This record gives sequence, structure tokens and C-alpha cells, in this order.
Amino acid sequence: MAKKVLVVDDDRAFLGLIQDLLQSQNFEVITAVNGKDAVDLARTCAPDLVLVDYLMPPGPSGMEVLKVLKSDPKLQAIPVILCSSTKNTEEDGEMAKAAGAYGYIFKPFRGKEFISFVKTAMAIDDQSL
Amino acid sequence: MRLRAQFALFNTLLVVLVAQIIASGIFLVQKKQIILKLGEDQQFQVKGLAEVCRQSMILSNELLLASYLKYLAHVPGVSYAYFVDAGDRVRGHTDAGFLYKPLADWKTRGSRELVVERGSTVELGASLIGHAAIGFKKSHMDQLLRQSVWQLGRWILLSSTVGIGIGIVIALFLSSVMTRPILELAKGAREIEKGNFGLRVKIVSSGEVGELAFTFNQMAAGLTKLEELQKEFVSMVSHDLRAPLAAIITYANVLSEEMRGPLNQTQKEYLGIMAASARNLHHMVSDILDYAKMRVGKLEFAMRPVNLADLVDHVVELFGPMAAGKGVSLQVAVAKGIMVQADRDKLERVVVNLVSNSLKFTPASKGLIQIQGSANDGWGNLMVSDNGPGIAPGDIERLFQKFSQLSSQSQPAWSGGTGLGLAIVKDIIEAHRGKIWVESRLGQGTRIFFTVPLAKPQNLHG
Repeated sequence: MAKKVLVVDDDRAFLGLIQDLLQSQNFEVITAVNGKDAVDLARTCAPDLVLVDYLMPPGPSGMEVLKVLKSDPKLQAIPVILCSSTKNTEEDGEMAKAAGAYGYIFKPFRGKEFISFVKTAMAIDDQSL
Repeated sequence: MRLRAQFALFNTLLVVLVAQIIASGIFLVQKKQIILKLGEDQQFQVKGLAEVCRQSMILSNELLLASYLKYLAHVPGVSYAYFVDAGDRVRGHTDAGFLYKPLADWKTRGSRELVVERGSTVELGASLIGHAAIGFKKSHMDQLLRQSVWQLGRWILLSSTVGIGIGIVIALFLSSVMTRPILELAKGAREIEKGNFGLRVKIVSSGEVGELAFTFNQMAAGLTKLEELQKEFVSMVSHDLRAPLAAIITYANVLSEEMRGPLNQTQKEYLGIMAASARNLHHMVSDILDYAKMRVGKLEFAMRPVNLADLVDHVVELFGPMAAGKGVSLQVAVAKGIMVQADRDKLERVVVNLVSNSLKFTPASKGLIQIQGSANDGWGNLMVSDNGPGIAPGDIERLFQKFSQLSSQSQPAWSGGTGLGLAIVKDIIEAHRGKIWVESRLGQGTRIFFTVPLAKPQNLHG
């Protein structure tokens, strides 16, 4: 069965690209453009991975979504990857990890690196790349 | 001179001046009074003599007059006294030898001491019976006058000194009361200058200074608002500008990686240029925003022990392919185990900037970039050198100024950049309390040095 990935980004250009990339790797992709919808979708769809953008004004930030997911016993096992084009330092990455995120992706990124990172997060052996 | 001192000095001078004017006024008036009083006393004595003369004439008792004159002769300050009748004959005299002689006899008698003579007619009913006079010693009068004036002067001097003293104390107190709010405002202004816009000064007076304090607080409130606006603007712009660029670069990356189908050589090349330009723009935006943040003091530094050699290795890894592609060799000699107290991301940014600059200016093939690190005296030192065209002496000073790019012939046309890179590098190094400087000569390459403090030994194993 195809793994399900929830992608949350207010930047539709990125959302489209990530969706496209993941679908090309045969993942099922669910998208949301704000933090509120993201939490709702996480509850209803039970994704295998959540990819959430750090800053999505004016709604809740990726960090806030992460905190909600990690505080919910049913959802806390889902790995969460934060990504951002604004806060791109190792420190931001460490902060995200400290808050329970699986990892942190800096935008812009390389496609292959992205796919392999996502696969690692879902514990998929990456032999195709 | 400080305002307070000026004010106190001015007030003191004013007090002294007023005290002097009042004192001299009192002195002059009092001196005149003393002279007048002395004259009145003398006149009174003369009247007394005249009355004694009249009585002794009425009573035909010349003994009365004689004893009175004898008494007068002993009064201090009296040189002589006499009574002459209407025929100018002496009827009584302190010098008894001239009794019953014409007055002229006495008057023509040799030298006499300086006297002031005061006389009075002696009348009996309507008829003039003679003339009485007392000669007062001028020297005694002068002495009397001097004594009184001296005493008066002393009193005035004493009271005006006390007055001036009190005046100075009051002036100092007043000036400190007046200048305290101004000093408070100056302190506030210094705080604002440091960026502490939340500061408000207490408004104690309702006068001009109070008004100034009120305006000052309004200004501070305005600055606080402005700072918030600027912060908001910087964070908004940093998101809104970087996000679309990140999208462009990522799309280009994915295409270049041929993840969405194969590309021909020209397509690959074009995509590479697009991605490079977008990356360039991305760096510029980051530079500008970082510079803005640095200026507002919003770029935060998380200082912790950083392994200098690891950091340099990481940067060299990043530039390795690019240098190899250009035919530039990268030589690294950083002593292992140097731990500096730094913000790793920011320091890496410094090294990235310096290496990328060197790479930009180093000739393709035969290019050599050397990175050397050492530690001494509490400081970690790093040097990045290249064998590029070098920098003219006049340009070295401009190197760290914002928006300054060196003359275009010294760099390839494609290299963009905001000219903010080295200005930010300098700010970052200075935020670490370190120094950065350049040694370069035209045609002989460039060496850039910087220092950052070493981490404290106890942190080494932490």
C-alpha cells in the first residue's frame, strides 16, 4: 500500500512541486495550505509522514502544528519534517528536533536529497536513488 | 563647561554682584550718616558751652564757666574752647593764660594743631553778649570716623559674605534641581541610542523641561512603534522574498537532476544559469535582510564552543567541486582542536563569504587558495589567502564598507552581489569581539585575517 504523506505549505508553488515529486515516487499525497487544516487532515487521514512549512502567516506556524501533533497520543508517532525558506540555520533545525520533529529541510533543496530524506523518515530502504 | 556649573557660576556671580552693590550703597549712606552725627554731636557740645556762658553771664559767676571749660579741656577730641564777649575780649578759655586778652592775641599765637572750630553766638534776650566756640581736633575726628567706618565696613563685609555663601549654596541647589531632569533626559537619550526604545523618563516638572521630557517620551514611543514596524517588515520581506526564490531554485534543481525526464545539453546549461542566477539573488536577499537585522540588532548570536578545523573542512567540502571545476586548488592548514567561542552558523557564513570571494577573484587554473588557522593568546586566528589580482591600497579601506564593490575590471562581469558581504562579515566578527583585516598588493594576491576568542578551557570537553 502506498505511503501517505501530508504536505502543508502556504506557498502553492512549493506545494505543487513537493506533491509532484512525491507522487512520482508513488506516494499518496494529501495537501493543506494552512496549519489548521493540516491538524484536521492529520486526524482524519492518518498520514505516514507530515511535511510542514515553518511560516504560514497568518495561521499557526509549522512549529505550532508540530506541537499539536506531538501532544496528541494518536498522532505523536507520525514523523514530522519541518521545512523553511526563511529560518535556514542549523540552530533552527536543532530547535525543531528538540520539539520532536524528525528533521528539518532548508529551502531551496535538491530533489534527490529531498526524496531520500523523506524515505528515510518513513523508514523505507532507498535503493532506487 | 557643564550646564550645572555654568548655572551655579552665573548665579554666584549675580549674588556677589548684588551683595557688592547693596554693601557699597549701605556703606556710603552710613558713612555720610556717621559724619553728620559727628557734626551734630559737636554742635550740641557747642550749644552746651554757649548755654553755660549765658548762665555764668546772668549769674556773673565766671567760676562756673571756668570749671566747665576745665571739664571741656579734658573731653577727648577737644583742642580748645573759649568764650569772647561782644568786645572780642576773652572771658573764658581752656588756656587760662589768655583770659581778658583780645581774642586776636590767642589767634595769632604760633602754630596750632589742625582743628575744626564750631562756634555759637551767646544771646541774652535780644542782645548779643558774646561768642562761644570749641575747637575739635581734626585728628581725633578722623580717628573717630575711621573707627566707625571700619566697624561699619566689617559688619557689611561679614553679612555680605554670609549672604554670598548662602546665595552660592542656593545657586548650587537650584542648578542641580534644574539640571537633574536634563541629565535624566541625556541618560534616556543614551539608552535610546543603544536601542533601548522601551525607556521612558519620569516627568517631574511642568515647565519647559517637563515639556521636553513629555516630547522625549513621545519620541521614544514613536521609535518603539517604528522598531516594531521595521521588525515586522524585515520578517515579512525575508519570508516573502525568499520563498518564491526558493521555489524557483528548487524547481530548477529538480529539472536539472532530470527527475522529470531527460534534458539535452543546452537545456541543462540554461537551467544551470537560471539556478545560479536565482541562487545569487537568494544570497543577495539574505545579505540585505541580515544586514538590516544586524543594524536593528535583531540578528541573535548563540555563542558556544566551535571546532575551527571542522568548520573550515565543512566549508571546503562545499566549495570543493566549484574550485576543482575552475582549476583552483584549495589548501587547508588548520590546527586540530582549536575551539573558538562563536555562533557556528554566522562564523561559517564568514568563512563561506571569504572563500567565495577568493574563488571569485582567483584566476582560473593555477589559482591557489590557502586557509590557515592557529591559536594564540586567547584568540583563534584564520587566514584566507589567494593569488588573485590583489587590491589597490585605496580600495582596501572601502572593502568593508556597505554597498562597496571594487572596480569592475578586477572581477568577472557575472559575479553579482550586493557589496554587503564583507560589511556583514565585519559586523559578525565584531559581534564576536574579534578583528578582521586585509593585506593585499596589486598583482600579489590578497590575504584576509580574522580573530575570534577561544572558548574557555572548561567548555572544551563539554
